[in-house]
Amino acid sequence: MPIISLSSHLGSKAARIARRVADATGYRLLDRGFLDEIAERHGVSRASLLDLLDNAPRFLGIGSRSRRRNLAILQQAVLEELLHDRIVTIGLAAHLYVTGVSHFIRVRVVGDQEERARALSEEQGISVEKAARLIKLHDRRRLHWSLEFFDLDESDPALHDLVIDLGATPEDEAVRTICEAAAARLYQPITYSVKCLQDQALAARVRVALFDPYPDIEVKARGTTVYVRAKAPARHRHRRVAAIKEAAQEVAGVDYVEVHLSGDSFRQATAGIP
Amino acid sequence: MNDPLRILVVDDEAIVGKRLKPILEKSGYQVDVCESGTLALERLSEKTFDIVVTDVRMDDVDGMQVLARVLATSPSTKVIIITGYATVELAREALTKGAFDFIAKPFKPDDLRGVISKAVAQLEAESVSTVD
Repeated sequence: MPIISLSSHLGSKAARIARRVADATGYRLLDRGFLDEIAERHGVSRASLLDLLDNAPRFLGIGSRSRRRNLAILQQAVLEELLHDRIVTIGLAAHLYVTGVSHFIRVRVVGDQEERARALSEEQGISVEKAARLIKLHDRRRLHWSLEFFDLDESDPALHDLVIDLGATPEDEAVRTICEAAAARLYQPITYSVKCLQDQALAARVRVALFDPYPDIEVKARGTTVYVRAKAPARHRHRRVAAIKEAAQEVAGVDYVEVHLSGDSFRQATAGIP
Repeated sequence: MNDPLRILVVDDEAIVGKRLKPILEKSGYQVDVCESGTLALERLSEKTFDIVVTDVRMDDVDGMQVLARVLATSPSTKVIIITGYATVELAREALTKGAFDFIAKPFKPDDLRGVISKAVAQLEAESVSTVD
């Protein structure tokens, strides 16, 4: 069965819709409650993961290395969880890093500014004016965030399979529409999409395993072969390639490692991998 | 289903059919191979297959046309799409048009065998429900 990923702006009731879709479909809800498990498993704090998800990168990139490490950990944990499918996910930014998986349904929930401000005002017990200011600030931060980490504007409708405007669609209808989409043939898991997800989970695992010594590497996987794009000064080239191969081969599920020092050869080797 | 299941493999890369035919025959299937979409359509007009494995990009008649012809004449046949140009859009298009599964090339023979086993299980389930 498919994976349903919901994303939204602040104050647009998407969390409630996600819960209702999970209840209606019998799927598991994977939301920020999962951060506790990630924190425990990887020895990072929940607060740092929340900070990663909620706050834009700092001025002059302060703390950016630890944030990128946390992002790699988040991606690995979420991708591995998504391998189980029958999941509704929200709040973990999966819509930005799960790519090329045809049974992963991206749903964007939008609402007009006034309605969102009213909803946030009720939810947090603050004035509508303050809620409106918070929403504007949050929208700017989110745009900055998604551009910085993924070079994507997450509010771009072209990124999503389904965009639901809660200003024009009652909540019950939104839930029903998402559930119907999940039952559609085109979103069912197939060999290709399951393998894409497995490949991305393996690449994420390797990325985390290699992050500390090599924070700037790019990793893709196809089956049990892993492709690593790394930078290395000319005189350390052979040693670095050997070290990366050795470290990557330690990761469960990896049989063969190719290390590419040139972007062109990496792109050529990984052509067709989403 | 006592007779061996009939499988048609359609791919304009001759090597694909040459490799898959013995592998699938070894698993007990009766296998025909066509090296173009046009030849596949001719074969389909002469004979019904339980499973069709077809490439998408072929010069004359493409895999989507083969899929449409198969399902128009034999709706119970399971069509498995194989392609070296897999994308989300193409995969979803194939599913919408009725493909049973979709595999990106390169793949291991075991991958295809696994998908064919699933197709066989579904064919058997459907034949039981038809008898009931």
